Amino acid sequence: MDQMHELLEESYRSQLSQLPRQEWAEYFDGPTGAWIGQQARTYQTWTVVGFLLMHHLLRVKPSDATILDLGTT
Amino acid sequence: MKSPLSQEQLRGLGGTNEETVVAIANAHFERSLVRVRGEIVGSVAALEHPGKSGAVNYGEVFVRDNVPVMLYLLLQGRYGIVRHFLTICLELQSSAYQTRGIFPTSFVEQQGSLVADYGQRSIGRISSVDATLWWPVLCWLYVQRSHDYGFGTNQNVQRGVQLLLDLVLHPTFEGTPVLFVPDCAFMIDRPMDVWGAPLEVEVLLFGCLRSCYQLMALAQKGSMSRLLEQRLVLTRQWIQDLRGFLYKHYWVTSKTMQMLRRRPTEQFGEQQGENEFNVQPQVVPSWLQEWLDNQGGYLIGNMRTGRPDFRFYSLGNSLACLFGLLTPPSSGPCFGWCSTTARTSWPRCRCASAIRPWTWMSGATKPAPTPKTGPGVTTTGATGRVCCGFLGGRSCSINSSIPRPMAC
Repeated sequence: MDQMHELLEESYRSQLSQLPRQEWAEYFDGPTGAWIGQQARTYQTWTVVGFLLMHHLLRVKPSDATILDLGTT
Repeated sequence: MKSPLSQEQLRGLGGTNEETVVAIANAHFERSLVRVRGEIVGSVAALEHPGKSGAVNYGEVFVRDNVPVMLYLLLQGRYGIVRHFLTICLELQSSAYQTRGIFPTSFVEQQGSLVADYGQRSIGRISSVDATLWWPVLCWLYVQRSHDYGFGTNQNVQRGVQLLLDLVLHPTFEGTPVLFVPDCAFMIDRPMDVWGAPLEVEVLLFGCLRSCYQLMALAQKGSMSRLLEQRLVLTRQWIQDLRGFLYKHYWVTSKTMQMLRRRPTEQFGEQQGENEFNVQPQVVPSWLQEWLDNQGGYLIGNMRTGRPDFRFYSLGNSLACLFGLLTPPSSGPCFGWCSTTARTSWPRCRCASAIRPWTWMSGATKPAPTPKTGPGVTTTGATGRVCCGFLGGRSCSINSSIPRPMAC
């Protein structure tokens, strides 16, 4: 699963540098999916909180990734 | 709320180091939180952009958009907000005969009263099935995380669960365990030919039913009820049927792919076990074999009579892994395959419509063009990002743990 971690790190670093510059746009398009969407709103909550969740799960407390577990009982 | 950071910092020009960006993001997040009846209830969809005119309804609290918000609040231990959000949503669960049991897509407080949108106010008058399916999931995750079992067994919550189950556990013309929905009924809220049994809705249904089961089991522990016992049995059966159905008709690997192309068509009666939906071999796209490239597999986007949708939906596939629909023998290959396929962008729907004629590719009709559904639109919304993070966290445990049995 090293490949997955590499992907996550790459994605996280790209968001870290891109999202503030792209004003936390609602969605993205273009040939590589990196352009701000034509009709995108800026400062979109899901973009902001998505980044914060990713930061939390990668840097603050990775074990919290089990939060979506629906239980086994 | 006045932000503690300067305008320059808020625009991200003040520094690019990690801590600063996180602080900026947190400041934006706090600004997005709004109050209903004096208490914080959740986030608006988007903050106003200085210099641009106000959006149509981006100032409302969308249930769907608040899923990652509530998860983040749970992680921060701010349980009161999550509880208030769940309570307000429950209060707004429709009681009108034609929509009884559904939760609103969004709501807003105007002049002291709550205005909810069940689809009658939205663009194109679409209804969001996903908002309703997310509610019990969030409710169960809240109960599980906060140990507020009193909330879970609360009569209003239990009644809400039963009203919701009435929307699912009933006879249908199709006689299948899937929930049949119109186009645009979930996060893909534009006409993109995602009607029928789209993966994301069915996976959410799976998570919803599992959560409802857990909430009912909690109440059953407190006081035995014959009615509840029957609902538990029925829900459990439905979950198993749904899982079996999705594995049988949606799961595709390079091996099953070979079978799809060579199976008989026009089967009738008892002999149709191999091709129940009468899918003609020519609708199986030729890029699929090369794309799968002998590694892993995925759940296809939709299955309807003669019209499978082979597009890859990242949210549906991610949630299938997270909710325990795909268990380790399949989720491992699914992760592995995702990580080789995905690039820096994590598309909500990888739709190669710019490369191949759409109709030929999916065997479906052309999607109605709107500004948000053009070729190559890859929406990297938060849920995709979040799932990416969760997948990473979970991938370690999946790699090392033995397959876990299904919860119910």
